[in-house]
Amino acid sequence: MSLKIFFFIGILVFVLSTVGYASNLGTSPTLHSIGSDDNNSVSAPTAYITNVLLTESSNDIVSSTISIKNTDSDSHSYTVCIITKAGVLISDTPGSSSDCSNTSTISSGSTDSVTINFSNPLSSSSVDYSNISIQEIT
Amino acid sequence: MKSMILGVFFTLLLGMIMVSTQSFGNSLSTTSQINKIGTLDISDSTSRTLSGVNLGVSDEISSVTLSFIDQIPDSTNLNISLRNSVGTEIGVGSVLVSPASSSATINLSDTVTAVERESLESIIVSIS
Repeated sequence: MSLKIFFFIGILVFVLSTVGYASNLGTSPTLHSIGSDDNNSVSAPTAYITNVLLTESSNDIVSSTISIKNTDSDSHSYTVCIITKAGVLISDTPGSSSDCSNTSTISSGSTDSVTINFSNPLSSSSVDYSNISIQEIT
Repeated sequence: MKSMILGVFFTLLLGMIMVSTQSFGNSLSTTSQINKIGTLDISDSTSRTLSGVNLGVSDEISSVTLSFIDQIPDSTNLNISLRNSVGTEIGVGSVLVSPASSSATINLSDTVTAVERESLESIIVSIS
């Protein structure tokens, strides 16, 4: 009789503990595609672009200086990237983060500038489009 | 013998509760680690190569100073349109450039408010 009880209780312990440990407790974060129509989870940074300046050298646009103002009540730093287009040519190397730069930590209400040297200088006579992104990193 | 079996039973029962509680007590929360990202598009159809866009550091935008590599010809209208993330125009302005110049300040017809500025994602510059 006692052996049956031990056996029953043992099975019960085994089953319950197995169920407990076997449950999948992991959840996978699913990232939305950034910059597309289904991007509904990425918030905008608390920062303004206050000034954009393209620098010309020898008839090429070689760099850009971008000024950022932190509008949050806390200090933040940001990664700033720019892609400039001249016809079919772009200033960045596709698939890289070459035309990016980090700001210093900007206190609330203050401004900082970053200068980004283009991987591929563009003819200054045909530059017609720029896309600037700001990512709040700290 | 009966009390010993009961003792073992309750000990095992306590073990079951501890095991199951340990599992259920694990945090299921996860952090996606997504940082905040914003973009600004600047489109230039002037053929004069827009080299500078100064929006100012105040929360509101009442004027925009534009600089160009090549001069804007005399008696040319320089136009600017500021749009938000869904393409709605939140600021517009125009100035007659005379004489020819490589920079101009355009006063917007309606000031872009601080709230609107947070959604600014596109600047379109043209001449006419």
